[in-house]
Amino acid sequence: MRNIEFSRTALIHDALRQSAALAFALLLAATAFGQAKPGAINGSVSDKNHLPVPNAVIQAKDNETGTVYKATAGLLGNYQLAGLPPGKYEFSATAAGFQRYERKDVLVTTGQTLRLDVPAGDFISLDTLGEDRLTIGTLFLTRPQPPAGPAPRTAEGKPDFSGLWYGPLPPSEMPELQPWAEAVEKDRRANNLKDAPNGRCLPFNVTIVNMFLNRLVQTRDFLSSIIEYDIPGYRQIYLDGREHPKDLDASWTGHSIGRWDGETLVIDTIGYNDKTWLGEAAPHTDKLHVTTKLHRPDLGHLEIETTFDDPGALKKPFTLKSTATLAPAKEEIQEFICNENNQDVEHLVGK
Amino acid sequence: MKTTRGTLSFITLWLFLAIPPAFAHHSFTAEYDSSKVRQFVGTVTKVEWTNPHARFYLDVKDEGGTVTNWNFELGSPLFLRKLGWKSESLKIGDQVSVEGYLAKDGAKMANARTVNLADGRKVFAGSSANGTPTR
Repeated sequence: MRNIEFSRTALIHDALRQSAALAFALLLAATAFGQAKPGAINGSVSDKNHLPVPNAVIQAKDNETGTVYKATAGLLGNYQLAGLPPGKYEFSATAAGFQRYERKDVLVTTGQTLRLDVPAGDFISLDTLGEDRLTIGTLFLTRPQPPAGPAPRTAEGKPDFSGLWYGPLPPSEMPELQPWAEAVEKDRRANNLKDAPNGRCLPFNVTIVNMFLNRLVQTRDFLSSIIEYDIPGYRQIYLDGREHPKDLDASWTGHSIGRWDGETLVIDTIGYNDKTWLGEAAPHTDKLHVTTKLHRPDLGHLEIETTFDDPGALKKPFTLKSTATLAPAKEEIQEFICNENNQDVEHLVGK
Repeated sequence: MKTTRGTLSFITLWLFLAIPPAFAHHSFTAEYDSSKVRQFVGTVTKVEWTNPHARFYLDVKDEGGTVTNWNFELGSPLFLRKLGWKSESLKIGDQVSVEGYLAKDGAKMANARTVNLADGRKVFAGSSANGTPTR
């Protein structure tokens, strides 16, 4: 009896042990399966008229690990974020000209692809005739191809940047901001950028060229940028070897000096006030230091590398690279007297 | 052929490009309400071919016969001109219908998204849809 009892007990123990082992093995397998089979999020970004929004920067931040996964939407507005470990994510989409889209606690499950279409909210000009997406797209699209040939040189043998340049589209990436600056930016966005200097006909940005039409005029001692759509419509860069003045008063456009580094002109600008907005809505301080490197690899292209360094507002220096293309000589810079009829100010209510 | 079609679809898609906020005169949503679209029919009383926005004004009669003058915002002449639009594309006395977004603060202002003449022709349009300005 005892033997039989023992055998039964042993059998039960055995069975239990085997079940536990099996369960453990299954658990292991499930875990392994989970690790091997990450999830994904895909979808498309479109505006309120269901037109695609290309180039949106899509980001998913793992709630637990803080790991950030990024993707850029294609021309049709489609995007895919693959290889996401199962879990909850903070999802965001940003595209130039649109409101930032955010969703918290987006659940990604093992091996599943989650569809998340992004409705890009209105922000800037949307459908205003003349500043609508079709107009801006057409302006960019109908730009003629730049001519081929070698980059011209000045009488002194330096690269000559003179010419009429179509500015590049600014990228969607933004600098990493210090907490106070991030809070200011968030507040500005919450108010739909109502206090942006642009709306008051004050300078649009701190760079020497923008995305529209710019004419560079270079002499031995001086480089000037005539900017069609900014205030003031020019920037001045001294190439005569002078230093920045010691008693510099802060100004909107700062003080720029340029030095040659081989084929590249390195422009150093300091002395900014803290009133311009960086990118869409980021603040900066009067410690802002902008380094612009210009290089003309051939007749039709101007490579522009701009580094923004502001220990008062940015976590670290931020560099943007872009290329301007030479416009036909027949193009002309038009007049832009912004304050001529600026009726908007009193109606910019924000929310 | 394949290349042509690819190029065409590339072109079509890239036509929809938003102006980045740093390069727009002001933010749309700070001034206008995208949920309040209204159709206006009236007579052009004034055209301002000015910066930072071209503007035109319409006398609009309501059901009760009261006439109100509305102020419509367009893009900057900088951009309008590049696309072949002219200051005389819209003239005083023209009968037009306009679709626009209303100002948030209740002012008699709107952001014009389409402008049609009485005979149905579009003004300030066709730069992309039809190839050339219609007027």
